[in-house]
Amino acid sequence: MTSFAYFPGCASEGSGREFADTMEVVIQALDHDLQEIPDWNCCGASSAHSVSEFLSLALPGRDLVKAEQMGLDVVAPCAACYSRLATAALELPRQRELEGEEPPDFRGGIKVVHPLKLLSTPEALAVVGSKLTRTLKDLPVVTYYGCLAVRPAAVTGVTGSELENPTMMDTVLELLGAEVIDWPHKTSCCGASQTLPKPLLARNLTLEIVDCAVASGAEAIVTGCPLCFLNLELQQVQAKTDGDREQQHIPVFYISELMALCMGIGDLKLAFENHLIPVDGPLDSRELTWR
Amino acid sequence: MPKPTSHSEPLSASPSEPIPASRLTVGSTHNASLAACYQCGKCSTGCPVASMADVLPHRIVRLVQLGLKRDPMGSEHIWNCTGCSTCSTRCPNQVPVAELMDHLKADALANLIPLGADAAKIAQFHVLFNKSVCKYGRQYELGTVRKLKSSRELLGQFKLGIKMLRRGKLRLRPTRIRDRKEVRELFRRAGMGK
Repeated sequence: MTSFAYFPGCASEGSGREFADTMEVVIQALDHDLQEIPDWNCCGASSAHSVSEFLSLALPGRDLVKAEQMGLDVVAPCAACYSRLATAALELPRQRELEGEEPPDFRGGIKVVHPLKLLSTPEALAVVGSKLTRTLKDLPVVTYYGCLAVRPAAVTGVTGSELENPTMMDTVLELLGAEVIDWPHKTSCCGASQTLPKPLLARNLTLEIVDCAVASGAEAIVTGCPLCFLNLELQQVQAKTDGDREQQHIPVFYISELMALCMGIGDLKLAFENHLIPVDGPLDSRELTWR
Repeated sequence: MPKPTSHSEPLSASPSEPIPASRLTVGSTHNASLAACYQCGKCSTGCPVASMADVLPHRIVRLVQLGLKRDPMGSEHIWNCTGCSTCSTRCPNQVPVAELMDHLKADALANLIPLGADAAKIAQFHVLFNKSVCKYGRQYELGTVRKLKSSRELLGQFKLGIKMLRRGKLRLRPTRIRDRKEVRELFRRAGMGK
Protein backbone atom coordinates (compact mmCIF):
# COMPACT_ATOMS: atom_id res chain seq x y z
CA MET A 1 0.00 0.00 0.00
CA THR A 2 1.20 3.48 -0.87
CA SER A 3 -0.12 6.61 0.78
CA PHE A 4 -0.59 9.79 -1.21
CA ALA A 5 -1.30 13.41 -0.37
CA TYR A 6 -4.58 14.02 -2.15
CA PHE A 7 -5.39 17.27 -3.93
CA PRO A 8 -9.08 17.09 -4.96
CA GLY A 9 -9.15 20.43 -6.83
CA CYS A 10 -12.03 22.91 -7.14
CA ALA A 11 -13.82 20.88 -9.85
CA SER A 12 -14.25 18.04 -7.35
CA GLU A 13 -16.69 20.25 -5.44
CA GLY A 14 -18.86 21.03 -8.45
CA SER A 15 -18.55 20.37 -12.15
CA GLY A 16 -16.30 17.32 -11.79
CA ARG A 17 -17.87 15.72 -8.72
CA GLU A 18 -18.45 12.32 -10.29
CA PHE A 19 -14.83 12.20 -11.45
CA ALA A 20 -13.36 12.85 -8.02
CA ASP A 21 -15.83 10.46 -6.37
CA THR A 22 -15.12 7.53 -8.69
CA MET A 23 -11.40 8.25 -8.93
CA GLU A 24 -11.07 8.13 -5.14
CA VAL A 25 -12.89 4.79 -4.99
CA VAL A 26 -10.77 3.28 -7.78
CA ILE A 27 -7.45 4.48 -6.35
CA GLN A 28 -8.42 3.05 -2.96
CA ALA A 29 -9.42 -0.24 -4.61
CA LEU A 30 -5.88 -0.35 -5.99
CA ASP A 31 -4.82 -0.47 -2.35
CA HIS A 32 -3.59 3.10 -2.08
CA ASP A 33 -4.41 5.44 0.74
CA LEU A 34 -5.46 9.04 -0.02
CA GLN A 35 -4.91 11.70 2.63
CA GLU A 36 -6.44 15.03 1.69
CA ILE A 37 -4.03 17.98 1.92
CA PRO A 38 -5.39 20.03 4.85
CA ASP A 39 -6.94 23.41 3.92
CA TRP A 40 -5.71 23.16 0.31
CA ASN A 41 -6.15 26.20 -1.93
CA CYS A 42 -6.95 26.53 -5.66
CA CYS A 43 -3.86 25.92 -7.81
CA GLY A 44 -4.76 28.87 -10.04
CA ALA A 45 -5.49 26.58 -13.02
CA SER A 46 -5.45 28.31 -16.40
CA SER A 47 -5.79 31.81 -15.01
CA ALA A 48 -2.97 32.48 -12.54
CA HIS A 49 -0.27 31.72 -15.13
CA SER A 50 -1.97 34.11 -17.54
CA VAL A 51 -1.56 37.06 -15.21
CA SER A 52 1.47 36.42 -12.98
CA GLU A 53 4.34 33.95 -12.98
CA PHE A 54 4.77 34.49 -9.26
CA LEU A 55 1.18 33.43 -8.52
CA SER A 56 1.39 30.50 -10.93
CA LEU A 57 4.12 29.06 -8.67
CA ALA A 58 3.12 30.48 -5.30
CA LEU A 59 -0.49 29.17 -5.27
CA PRO A 60 0.37 25.50 -5.95
CA GLY A 61 3.52 26.09 -3.85
CA ARG A 62 1.43 26.55 -0.71
CA ASP A 63 -0.19 23.15 -1.34
CA LEU A 64 3.14 21.47 -2.12
CA VAL A 65 4.66 22.71 1.13
CA LYS A 66 1.80 21.08 3.05
CA ALA A 67 2.22 17.83 1.11
CA GLU A 68 5.93 17.87 1.79
CA GLN A 69 5.23 18.24 5.49
CA MET A 70 3.04 15.12 5.16
CA GLY A 71 6.00 13.44 3.49
CA LEU A 72 3.83 12.06 0.68
CA ASP A 73 3.78 12.27 -3.11
CA VAL A 74 0.78 14.17 -4.44
CA VAL A 75 -2.10 12.80 -6.52
CA ALA A 76 -4.40 15.31 -8.25
CA PRO A 77 -7.14 13.82 -10.46
CA CYS A 78 -7.76 17.01 -12.50
CA ALA A 79 -5.34 17.41 -15.41
CA ALA A 80 -5.10 21.19 -14.90
CA CYS A 81 -4.37 20.88 -11.17
CA TYR A 82 -1.84 18.14 -11.94
CA SER A 83 -0.14 20.36 -14.50
CA ARG A 84 0.12 23.41 -12.22
CA LEU A 85 1.29 21.37 -9.21
CA ALA A 86 3.81 19.42 -11.28
CA THR A 87 5.15 22.63 -12.87
CA ALA A 88 5.59 24.24 -9.46
CA ALA A 89 7.19 21.08 -8.02
CA LEU A 90 9.76 21.27 -10.82
CA GLU A 91 10.26 25.03 -10.78
CA LEU A 92 10.34 25.98 -7.11
CA PRO A 93 13.48 24.07 -6.08
CA ARG A 94 15.17 25.19 -9.32
CA GLN A 95 14.19 28.83 -8.84
CA ARG A 96 15.87 28.65 -5.48
CA GLU A 97 19.12 27.73 -7.16
CA LEU A 98 18.76 30.20 -9.99
CA GLU A 99 17.61 33.27 -8.16
CA GLY A 100 19.29 32.70 -4.82
CA GLU A 101 16.59 34.73 -3.18
CA GLU A 102 14.48 34.05 -0.13
CA PRO A 103 14.45 30.29 0.30
CA PRO A 104 11.17 28.75 -0.84
CA ASP A 105 9.57 26.46 1.65
CA PHE A 106 9.25 23.67 -0.91
CA ARG A 107 12.42 21.56 -1.11
CA GLY A 108 11.40 19.24 -3.92
CA GLY A 109 11.41 16.11 -1.76
CA ILE A 110 8.13 14.83 -3.20
CA LYS A 111 6.65 14.20 -6.67
CA VAL A 112 3.29 14.95 -8.25
CA VAL A 113 1.81 11.83 -9.82
CA HIS A 114 -0.73 11.82 -12.63
CA PRO A 115 -3.64 9.50 -11.81
CA LEU A 116 -3.69 8.02 -15.33
CA LYS A 117 -0.14 6.80 -14.74
CA LEU A 118 -1.15 5.42 -11.37
CA LEU A 119 -4.06 3.51 -12.93
CA SER A 120 -2.06 1.99 -15.76
CA THR A 121 1.08 0.58 -14.13
CA PRO A 122 1.52 -3.20 -14.58
CA GLU A 123 0.81 -3.65 -10.85
CA ALA A 124 -2.40 -1.60 -11.08
CA LEU A 125 -3.54 -3.54 -14.15
CA ALA A 126 -2.98 -6.82 -12.33
CA VAL A 127 -5.15 -5.68 -9.41
CA VAL A 128 -7.89 -4.37 -11.74
CA GLY A 129 -7.83 -7.64 -13.67
CA SER A 130 -8.24 -9.66 -10.49
CA LYS A 131 -11.18 -7.54 -9.33
CA LEU A 132 -13.26 -7.47 -12.53
CA THR A 133 -16.86 -8.50 -11.96
CA ARG A 134 -17.96 -7.81 -15.54
CA THR A 135 -16.64 -6.51 -18.85
CA LEU A 136 -17.66 -3.79 -21.31
CA LYS A 137 -18.59 -6.42 -23.96
CA ASP A 138 -16.72 -4.84 -26.87
CA LEU A 139 -18.24 -1.38 -26.35
CA PRO A 140 -16.61 0.73 -29.08
CA VAL A 141 -14.98 3.80 -27.52
CA VAL A 142 -12.39 6.44 -28.32
CA THR A 143 -9.97 7.66 -25.66
CA TYR A 144 -9.57 11.41 -25.28
CA TYR A 145 -6.55 12.59 -23.25
CA GLY A 146 -6.60 16.30 -24.07
CA CYS A 147 -3.55 18.44 -23.39
CA LEU A 148 -2.26 18.58 -19.86
CA ALA A 149 -2.00 14.87 -19.08
CA VAL A 150 0.76 14.65 -21.70
CA ARG A 151 2.00 18.21 -22.36
CA PRO A 152 4.26 20.04 -21.83
CA ALA A 153 6.70 17.12 -21.98
CA ALA A 154 9.16 18.86 -19.65
CA VAL A 155 6.49 18.79 -16.93
CA THR A 156 4.74 15.45 -17.53
CA GLY A 157 7.85 13.44 -18.36
CA VAL A 158 5.90 11.81 -21.21
CA THR A 159 8.22 10.95 -24.10
CA GLY A 160 8.33 9.54 -27.62
CA SER A 161 5.19 8.34 -29.36
CA GLU A 162 3.21 8.64 -26.11
CA LEU A 163 3.27 12.42 -26.58
CA GLU A 164 1.07 12.27 -29.68
CA ASN A 165 -0.44 8.84 -29.15
CA PRO A 166 -0.79 8.12 -25.43
CA THR A 167 -2.01 4.65 -24.46
CA MET A 168 -2.49 4.78 -20.67
CA MET A 169 -6.30 4.70 -20.83
CA ASP A 170 -6.31 2.41 -23.88
CA THR A 171 -4.51 -0.31 -21.95
CA VAL A 172 -6.97 -0.08 -19.08
CA LEU A 173 -10.02 -0.10 -21.37
CA GLU A 174 -8.79 -3.11 -23.31
CA LEU A 175 -8.47 -4.93 -20.01
CA LEU A 176 -12.07 -3.91 -19.24
CA GLY A 177 -13.18 -5.48 -22.53
CA ALA A 178 -13.87 -2.35 -24.57
CA GLU A 179 -13.07 -2.02 -28.24
CA VAL A 180 -10.65 0.92 -28.31
CA ILE A 181 -10.84 2.65 -31.68
CA ASP A 182 -7.81 4.38 -33.17
CA TRP A 183 -8.54 8.02 -34.04
CA PRO A 184 -6.64 11.26 -34.63
CA HIS A 185 -7.91 13.49 -31.80
CA LYS A 186 -6.51 11.81 -28.67
CA THR A 187 -4.45 14.86 -27.68
CA SER A 188 -6.21 17.65 -29.59
CA CYS A 189 -7.18 20.65 -27.51
CA CYS A 190 -10.90 21.07 -26.71
CA GLY A 191 -10.39 24.72 -25.71
CA ALA A 192 -11.67 24.23 -22.15
CA SER A 193 -9.81 27.31 -20.88
CA GLN A 194 -11.93 29.43 -23.24
CA THR A 195 -15.31 27.85 -22.36
CA LEU A 196 -16.33 30.83 -20.24
CA PRO A 197 -14.70 33.89 -21.87
CA LYS A 198 -14.94 32.81 -25.53
CA PRO A 199 -17.50 30.00 -25.84
CA LEU A 200 -17.61 29.84 -29.65
CA LEU A 201 -13.88 29.18 -29.81
CA ALA A 202 -14.27 26.29 -27.37
CA ARG A 203 -17.35 25.03 -29.21
CA ASN A 204 -15.62 24.87 -32.59
CA LEU A 205 -12.67 22.93 -31.19
CA THR A 206 -14.90 20.59 -29.19
CA LEU A 207 -17.39 19.80 -31.95
CA GLU A 208 -14.58 18.89 -34.33
CA ILE A 209 -13.44 16.33 -31.76
CA VAL A 210 -17.00 15.10 -31.13
CA ASP A 211 -17.78 14.79 -34.86
CA CYS A 212 -14.62 12.76 -35.41
CA ALA A 213 -15.49 10.46 -32.49
CA VAL A 214 -18.92 9.79 -34.00
CA ALA A 215 -17.49 9.27 -37.49
CA SER A 216 -14.95 6.78 -36.15
CA GLY A 217 -17.80 4.54 -34.97
CA ALA A 218 -17.41 5.11 -31.22
CA GLU A 219 -20.46 4.93 -28.98
CA ALA A 220 -18.78 6.93 -26.24
CA ILE A 221 -15.79 9.16 -25.52
CA VAL A 222 -13.65 8.24 -22.51
CA THR A 223 -11.62 10.94 -20.78
CA GLY A 224 -9.57 11.47 -17.64
CA CYS A 225 -9.92 15.23 -17.24
CA PRO A 226 -12.84 17.08 -15.61
CA LEU A 227 -12.34 20.19 -17.75
CA CYS A 228 -12.39 18.20 -20.99
CA PHE A 229 -15.41 16.24 -19.75
CA LEU A 230 -17.40 19.36 -18.92
CA ASN A 231 -16.55 20.90 -22.26
CA LEU A 232 -17.35 17.75 -24.27
CA GLU A 233 -20.76 17.51 -22.63
CA LEU A 234 -21.89 21.08 -22.41
CA GLN A 235 -20.76 22.16 -25.87
CA GLN A 236 -22.84 19.33 -27.37
CA VAL A 237 -25.87 20.28 -25.28
CA GLN A 238 -25.55 24.03 -25.86
CA ALA A 239 -24.94 23.57 -29.63
CA LYS A 240 -28.27 21.75 -29.86
CA THR A 241 -30.07 24.41 -27.80
CA ASP A 242 -28.68 27.12 -30.07
CA GLY A 243 -29.75 25.18 -33.19
CA ASP A 244 -26.12 24.73 -34.27
CA ARG A 245 -26.36 20.96 -34.37
CA GLU A 246 -29.15 18.44 -34.89
CA GLN A 247 -27.07 15.36 -34.31
CA GLN A 248 -27.48 12.81 -31.59
CA HIS A 249 -25.28 13.47 -28.56
CA ILE A 250 -22.46 11.04 -27.90
CA PRO A 251 -22.06 10.18 -24.19
CA VAL A 252 -18.85 10.91 -22.33
CA PHE A 253 -17.40 8.73 -19.57
CA TYR A 254 -14.63 9.21 -17.08
CA ILE A 255 -12.13 6.35 -17.19
CA SER A 256 -12.65 5.96 -13.43
CA GLU A 257 -16.41 5.48 -13.88
CA LEU A 258 -15.93 2.58 -16.30
CA MET A 259 -13.32 1.03 -14.03
CA ALA A 260 -15.68 1.32 -11.05
CA LEU A 261 -18.50 -0.16 -13.16
CA CYS A 262 -16.46 -3.22 -14.13
CA MET A 263 -15.02 -3.68 -10.64
CA GLY A 264 -18.45 -3.39 -9.02
CA ILE A 265 -17.46 -0.54 -6.70
CA GLY A 266 -18.63 3.03 -6.00
CA ASP A 267 -21.98 4.76 -6.34
CA LEU A 268 -22.50 4.80 -10.11
CA LYS A 269 -26.12 5.91 -9.90
CA LEU A 270 -24.89 9.12 -8.32
CA ALA A 271 -22.21 9.48 -10.98
CA PHE A 272 -24.17 8.64 -14.14
CA GLU A 273 -27.28 10.61 -13.17
CA ASN A 274 -25.04 13.66 -12.91
CA HIS A 275 -24.11 13.49 -16.61
CA LEU A 276 -25.71 16.06 -18.90
CA ILE A 277 -25.79 13.46 -21.70
CA PRO A 278 -27.52 10.19 -20.69
CA VAL A 279 -25.32 7.08 -20.70
CA ASP A 280 -28.20 4.59 -21.10
CA GLY A 281 -27.62 3.96 -24.83
CA PRO A 282 -24.25 2.24 -24.75
CA LEU A 283 -24.75 0.62 -21.33
CA ASP A 284 -28.35 -0.66 -21.61
CA SER A 285 -27.74 -2.29 -24.99
CA ARG A 286 -25.04 -4.39 -23.32
CA GLU A 287 -27.08 -5.06 -20.21
CA LEU A 288 -24.56 -3.21 -18.08
CA THR A 289 -26.95 -2.22 -15.32
CA TRP A 290 -25.97 0.53 -12.90
CA ARG A 291 -29.22 1.77 -11.32
CA MET B 1 11.23 31.93 -6.04
CA PRO B 2 10.98 34.70 -8.65
CA LYS B 3 10.73 38.23 -7.35
CA PRO B 4 7.01 39.00 -7.36
CA THR B 5 7.44 42.40 -8.91
CA SER B 6 9.90 41.25 -11.52
CA HIS B 7 8.09 38.23 -12.90
CA SER B 8 8.18 39.75 -16.36
CA GLU B 9 11.69 41.12 -16.09
CA PRO B 10 13.40 38.94 -18.72
CA LEU B 11 11.14 40.43 -21.39
CA SER B 12 10.03 43.72 -20.02
CA ALA B 13 12.60 46.09 -21.36
CA SER B 14 10.79 48.99 -22.96
CA PRO B 15 8.67 47.50 -25.77
CA SER B 16 10.60 49.31 -28.49
CA GLU B 17 14.08 48.44 -27.22
CA PRO B 18 15.82 45.38 -28.65
CA ILE B 19 16.30 42.70 -26.01
CA PRO B 20 19.76 41.14 -25.78
CA ALA B 21 19.63 37.54 -27.05
CA SER B 22 21.07 36.30 -23.77
CA ARG B 23 17.98 37.55 -21.94
CA LEU B 24 15.48 35.96 -24.29
CA THR B 25 14.53 33.19 -21.92
CA VAL B 26 11.12 32.49 -20.53
CA GLY B 27 10.66 30.73 -17.23
CA SER B 28 13.20 28.07 -16.49
CA THR B 29 11.21 24.89 -17.01
CA HIS B 30 12.75 25.09 -20.44
CA ASN B 31 16.29 26.33 -20.45
CA ALA B 32 16.29 26.99 -24.17
CA SER B 33 16.07 30.58 -25.21
CA LEU B 34 13.79 32.29 -27.69
CA ALA B 35 16.90 33.07 -29.71
CA ALA B 36 16.99 29.40 -30.77
CA CYS B 37 13.91 29.89 -32.97
CA TYR B 38 14.77 29.57 -36.67
CA GLN B 39 11.23 30.21 -37.93
CA CYS B 40 10.28 26.72 -39.11
CA GLY B 41 6.66 27.48 -38.27
CA LYS B 42 5.91 24.12 -36.65
CA CYS B 43 4.33 25.90 -33.68
CA SER B 44 1.89 27.74 -35.93
CA THR B 45 1.07 24.56 -37.88
CA GLY B 46 0.00 22.70 -34.76
CA CYS B 47 -1.74 25.60 -33.02
CA PRO B 48 -5.47 24.84 -32.56
CA VAL B 49 -6.40 28.53 -32.80
CA ALA B 50 -4.03 29.48 -35.64
CA SER B 51 -6.93 29.78 -38.10
CA MET B 52 -8.21 32.82 -36.20
CA ALA B 53 -4.81 34.30 -35.30
CA ASP B 54 -4.07 37.95 -36.04
CA VAL B 55 -0.37 37.20 -35.49
CA LEU B 56 0.82 33.58 -35.82
CA PRO B 57 2.89 32.06 -32.98
CA HIS B 58 6.18 31.83 -34.92
CA ARG B 59 5.81 35.47 -35.92
CA ILE B 60 5.21 36.44 -32.30
CA VAL B 61 8.50 34.75 -31.38
CA ARG B 62 10.26 36.63 -34.20
CA LEU B 63 8.80 39.98 -33.14
CA VAL B 64 10.04 39.45 -29.59
CA GLN B 65 13.47 38.46 -30.93
CA LEU B 66 13.56 41.73 -32.83
CA GLY B 67 12.62 43.72 -29.77
CA LEU B 68 9.22 44.64 -31.23
CA LYS B 69 7.43 43.34 -28.23
CA ARG B 70 4.62 45.81 -28.16
CA ASP B 71 2.96 44.36 -31.29
CA PRO B 72 2.35 40.87 -29.92
CA MET B 73 1.43 42.34 -26.52
CA GLY B 74 -1.52 44.01 -28.22
CA SER B 75 -2.45 40.98 -30.35
CA GLU B 76 -5.59 38.96 -29.81
CA HIS B 77 -3.78 35.69 -30.36
CA ILE B 78 -1.97 35.67 -27.02
CA TRP B 79 -5.40 35.80 -25.38
CA ASN B 80 -6.98 33.20 -27.69
CA CYS B 81 -4.13 30.82 -26.81
CA THR B 82 -5.71 27.84 -25.04
CA GLY B 83 -2.49 26.91 -23.23
CA CYS B 84 -2.43 23.45 -24.85
CA SER B 85 1.41 23.56 -25.18
CA THR B 86 1.41 21.78 -28.55
CA CYS B 87 3.78 24.50 -29.80
CA SER B 88 6.33 24.08 -26.99
CA THR B 89 6.13 20.29 -27.19
CA ARG B 90 6.66 20.05 -30.97
CA CYS B 91 9.33 22.77 -31.26
CA PRO B 92 12.56 21.22 -32.61
CA ASN B 93 14.61 23.73 -30.55
CA GLN B 94 12.60 23.53 -27.31
CA VAL B 95 11.56 27.17 -27.58
CA PRO B 96 8.98 27.73 -24.80
CA VAL B 97 6.33 29.26 -27.06
CA ALA B 98 3.32 28.63 -24.80
CA GLU B 99 5.18 30.09 -21.81
CA LEU B 100 5.97 33.15 -23.92
CA MET B 101 2.23 33.70 -24.45
CA ASP B 102 1.73 33.74 -20.66
CA HIS B 103 4.54 36.27 -20.22
CA LEU B 104 3.12 38.51 -22.92
CA LYS B 105 -0.34 38.39 -21.33
CA ALA B 106 1.02 39.27 -17.89
CA ASP B 107 3.10 42.06 -19.43
CA ALA B 108 0.17 43.41 -21.43
CA LEU B 109 -1.88 43.64 -18.24
CA ALA B 110 0.96 45.16 -16.21
CA ASN B 111 1.65 47.76 -18.92
CA LEU B 112 -2.04 48.53 -19.50
CA ILE B 113 -1.79 47.73 -23.22
CA PRO B 114 -5.13 48.54 -24.93
CA LEU B 115 -6.99 45.34 -25.86
CA GLY B 116 -9.70 44.58 -28.42
CA ALA B 117 -13.15 43.56 -27.19
CA ASP B 118 -12.58 39.76 -27.37
CA ALA B 119 -9.13 39.96 -25.80
CA ALA B 120 -10.45 42.22 -23.05
CA LYS B 121 -13.19 39.70 -22.25
CA ILE B 122 -10.66 36.88 -21.89
CA ALA B 123 -8.39 39.09 -19.77
CA GLN B 124 -11.39 39.97 -17.60
CA PHE B 125 -12.09 36.25 -17.10
CA HIS B 126 -8.56 35.59 -15.87
CA VAL B 127 -8.72 38.56 -13.52
CA LEU B 128 -12.12 37.49 -12.13
CA PHE B 129 -10.92 33.91 -11.69
CA ASN B 130 -7.97 35.15 -9.68
CA LYS B 131 -10.10 37.50 -7.61
CA SER B 132 -12.28 34.56 -6.65
CA VAL B 133 -9.24 32.55 -5.53
CA CYS B 134 -7.92 35.59 -3.66
CA LYS B 135 -11.21 36.03 -1.83
CA TYR B 136 -12.12 32.43 -0.97
CA GLY B 137 -8.92 30.45 -1.50
CA ARG B 138 -10.91 28.32 -3.96
CA GLN B 139 -12.59 28.92 -7.29
CA TYR B 140 -16.26 29.91 -6.97
CA GLU B 141 -17.51 29.10 -10.46
CA LEU B 142 -21.01 30.56 -10.22
CA GLY B 143 -19.71 33.84 -8.80
CA THR B 144 -17.16 34.19 -11.61
CA VAL B 145 -19.77 33.36 -14.30
CA ARG B 146 -22.24 35.90 -12.90
CA LYS B 147 -19.65 38.67 -13.03
CA LEU B 148 -18.34 37.73 -16.48
CA LYS B 149 -21.57 37.28 -18.44
CA SER B 150 -24.16 39.87 -19.45
CA SER B 151 -27.80 39.23 -18.47
CA ARG B 152 -28.53 38.38 -22.10
CA GLU B 153 -25.77 35.78 -22.22
CA LEU B 154 -26.91 34.31 -18.91
CA LEU B 155 -30.49 34.05 -20.21
CA GLY B 156 -29.28 32.18 -23.31
CA GLN B 157 -27.69 29.57 -21.09
CA PHE B 158 -30.46 29.52 -18.52
CA LYS B 159 -31.61 25.95 -19.27
CA LEU B 160 -28.06 24.65 -19.12
CA GLY B 161 -27.46 26.52 -15.87
CA ILE B 162 -30.52 24.95 -14.26
CA LYS B 163 -29.43 21.48 -15.41
CA MET B 164 -26.03 22.03 -13.87
CA LEU B 165 -27.42 23.41 -10.62
CA ARG B 166 -29.75 20.41 -10.29
CA ARG B 167 -26.85 18.02 -10.72
CA GLY B 168 -24.72 19.83 -8.18
CA LYS B 169 -22.28 20.80 -10.96
CA LEU B 170 -22.58 24.45 -9.96
CA ARG B 171 -22.52 25.37 -6.31
CA LEU B 172 -24.74 28.19 -5.12
CA ARG B 173 -22.29 29.17 -2.41
CA PRO B 174 -18.50 29.45 -2.43
CA THR B 175 -16.29 27.11 -0.42
CA ARG B 176 -13.86 29.06 1.74
CA ILE B 177 -10.58 27.75 3.03
CA ARG B 178 -9.61 28.43 6.64
CA ASP B 179 -6.36 30.29 6.13
CA ARG B 180 -7.49 32.83 3.52
CA LYS B 181 -5.07 35.39 4.92
CA GLU B 182 -2.14 33.30 3.73
CA VAL B 183 -3.51 33.16 0.17
CA ARG B 184 -4.32 36.87 0.17
CA GLU B 185 -0.74 37.55 1.19
CA LEU B 186 0.44 35.72 -1.96
CA PHE B 187 -1.77 37.97 -4.09
CA ARG B 188 -0.46 41.02 -2.29
CA ARG B 189 3.11 39.97 -3.02
CA ALA B 190 2.13 39.51 -6.66
CA GLY B 191 0.95 43.12 -6.64
CA MET B 192 -2.65 42.04 -7.11
CA GLY B 193 -4.26 42.10 -3.70
CA LYS B 194 -5.04 44.92 -1.35
